[in-house]
Amino acid sequence: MNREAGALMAGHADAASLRVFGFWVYVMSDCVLFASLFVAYAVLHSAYAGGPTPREVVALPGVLAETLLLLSSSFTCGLATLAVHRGSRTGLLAWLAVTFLLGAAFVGLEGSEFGRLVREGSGPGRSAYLSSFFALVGTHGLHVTCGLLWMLILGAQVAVKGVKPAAVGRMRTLSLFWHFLDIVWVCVFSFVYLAGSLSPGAMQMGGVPGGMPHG
Amino acid sequence: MLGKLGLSAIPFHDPIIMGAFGFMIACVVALAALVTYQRKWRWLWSEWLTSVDHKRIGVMYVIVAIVMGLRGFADVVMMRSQLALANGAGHGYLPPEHYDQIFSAHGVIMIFFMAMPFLIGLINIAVPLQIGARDVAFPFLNSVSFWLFMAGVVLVNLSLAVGEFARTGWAAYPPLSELPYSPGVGVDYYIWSLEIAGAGTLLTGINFLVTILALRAPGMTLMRMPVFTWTALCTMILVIAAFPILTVVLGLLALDRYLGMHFFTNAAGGNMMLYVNLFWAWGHPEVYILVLPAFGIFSEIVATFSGKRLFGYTSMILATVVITVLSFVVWLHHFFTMGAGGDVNAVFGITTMIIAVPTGVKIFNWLFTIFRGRLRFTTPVLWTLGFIVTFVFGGMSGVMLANPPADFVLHNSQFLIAHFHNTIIGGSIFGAIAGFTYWFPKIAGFRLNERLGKSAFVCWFVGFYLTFVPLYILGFLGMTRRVNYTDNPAWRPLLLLAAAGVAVTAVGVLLLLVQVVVSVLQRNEARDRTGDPWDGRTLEWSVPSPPPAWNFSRIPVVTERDAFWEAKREGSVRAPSGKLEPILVPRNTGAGVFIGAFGLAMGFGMIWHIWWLAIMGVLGVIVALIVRTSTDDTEYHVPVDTLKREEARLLPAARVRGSP
Repeated sequence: MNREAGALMAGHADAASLRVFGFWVYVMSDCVLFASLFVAYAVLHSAYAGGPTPREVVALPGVLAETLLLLSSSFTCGLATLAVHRGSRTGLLAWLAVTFLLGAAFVGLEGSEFGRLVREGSGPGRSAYLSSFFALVGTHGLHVTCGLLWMLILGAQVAVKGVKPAAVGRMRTLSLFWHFLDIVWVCVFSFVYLAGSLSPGAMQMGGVPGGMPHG
Repeated sequence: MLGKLGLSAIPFHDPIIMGAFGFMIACVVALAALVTYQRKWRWLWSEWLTSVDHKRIGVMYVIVAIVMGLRGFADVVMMRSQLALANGAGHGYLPPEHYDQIFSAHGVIMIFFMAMPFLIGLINIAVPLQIGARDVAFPFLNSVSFWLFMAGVVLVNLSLAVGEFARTGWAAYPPLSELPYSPGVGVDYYIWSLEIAGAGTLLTGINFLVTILALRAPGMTLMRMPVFTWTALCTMILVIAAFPILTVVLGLLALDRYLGMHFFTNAAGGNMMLYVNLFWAWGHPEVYILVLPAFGIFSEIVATFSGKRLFGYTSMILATVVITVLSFVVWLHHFFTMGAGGDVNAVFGITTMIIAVPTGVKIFNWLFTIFRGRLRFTTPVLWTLGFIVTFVFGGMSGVMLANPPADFVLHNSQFLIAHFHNTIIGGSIFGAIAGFTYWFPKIAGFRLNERLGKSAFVCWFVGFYLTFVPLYILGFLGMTRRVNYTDNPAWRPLLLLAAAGVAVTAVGVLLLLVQVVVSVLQRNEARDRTGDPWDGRTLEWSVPSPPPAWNFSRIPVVTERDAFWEAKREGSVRAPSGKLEPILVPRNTGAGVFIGAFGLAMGFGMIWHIWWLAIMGVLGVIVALIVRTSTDDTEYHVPVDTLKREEARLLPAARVRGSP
């Protein structure tokens, strides 16, 4: 943090660091929330009930694109944080906009993946496995959507009022939230998508691990 | 337009429900009329409902908890009288579908809307004062927590007359709570009231964890914190780690019911034991969320009224921390009968027995604090002594149930009912009432009537044993829980005895209410002008009663445990030191009330499938948050002149007593 930012936060440093600490605690509780959803997935992941198996559900190329989008949005979110600490309104708004677009593309891709599955009759009501798949991935997607909404509100506030100390604090917590969602996505990617495409059910179906579904 | 809601949702044909709801409406109307007559609406809104002062929020929690406690107790009276009547030839007056709602509502109300808010209210009132803080870390968030909790309260009370409440028991196990077996709105009321109130509880957890860790007065190290603050800290850790699990498990049940998913259904690979495991992974920590603050209250009371330092402070803290950790590894003892096998059951049986050890340590700490102390037999002390005896019984019966073979016999019997009431009433409720009596003068500025308080305790104590000893015996005789009729004539005398016990407890409840009224009327005889009515040991007694909005004009510097007691001994209370500086105080805001109201709209819309209302509720919450975060003018300075005037007015009184 440079001197300018230090001056910006003078007198509010205490309140701001309290907020960041509080937000860390919230993130910890969100970890428990996702852990519970992972537990549900772990228990139900092979309850296909005669329906599609992970091999038929997982479309790795699409998921790879989602992953790249989200990981690069984490990078641009970091750039937005640097901009806010410089006190640069244009920099913050620009990087926030890029982050928003990347995040929105992620949500859009995920939405189209969900739409495809539902159209194919592999909706969340088909089997317990699909219920747990949709709940876990969907909860993450809902979090990302909330983050997008947060970016819009923060962007509007900064556009109208400029970079106030409150905005600095909110950008710090927003970036915490965004990076956290990235980490959760890495877990979702590993356990739901990668492990799903390698699962015994998929092997029995004669699929190549990691191969295209409906090949 | 109105989803599933129609006039048929209101049970006009049922005189009991309509009478109860009519009484509730009458109370609300009478209250509103009184406020209007006194022209107090503006005062009520600007001084209380929109308040972000932790003390006022605490008072509101306690008031709502007491009102909900009365409703939960009305359920008790109905259930016990039904069981006293419905034996053999008699069938009582409550049909099964109504009786099932009553025991479900009783459990939900007593745990989520009475015991927890009562203790959270006391934590709100006492903890910031105990650590020498001017407020909680996030005062506005505190108001949001309260109003989300209130939204849950309103939903539960609405369910009485608009529709129905769950008939599933307070844990709402599937598949019974799934759509095919519970097609009505009862389970939806259950889900949404707990989801919304639970979100508020989680925010409280975060708020107080940060408050305790970050806002302690200089010199107050962790091992100098009052024990109540310690138990509050551990409680908040439990809240933060456990409540997200409840959010998820109820959310998944909602997905099953609303979107036809298959988490816990009989069909399509659902697994109902997943629900039971997740529910108790939250549920057992919840038990300690209910009892740890009570342990803290008793610790404060025992030390204060024995005029001694708490015996074994360090072991008390360690025991609290050990309980906090162990509470996460015992959940399976709630369903040994699941069939996980001997090895798994043995592990959880042993962890359950181990958790009794730190609890035993605490009992000895309290006893040795009293030993060779000069115990003053005030009302809080009576509740404490009653607790020590009662809780030992409850703990012992818990250790019996921790033995899986015994549990297979006693599972879901009246023995279990007696056990957990023994710990929750004897622990949490006695603790809440003791804490209420102990901190009442701090908030009200006068003490509660001792004679009425002691009579109330005697009625509660006797009533408790009269009610629950018969239930222990009935459990051994084979009576199960959740039945509204029994056909074994041998059980009749015991059921009548239990009903008599409730009658005695009812007198105790009445006496508690009379105590408050009489104390208010005779407040001038028991004024607390010193701020220290009990010769206390911790910092909350160093400020005037009631404390100013900013609590401490000068932040105390702590050098010892029992900071105020040490200051009194050294005589440093008489001479306030340190420079006065303007204090930043948060402004009251209606945003919390609106967030709660929109949360309520969302919940009601979801319950009745009124989708536009639900969407409006969510949007309303978002808009309220945007407005709030766009407001810059959220704090004001209290100038030094005001602080000086307050000090001049209040501190001489606070210094009357001086050293012990």
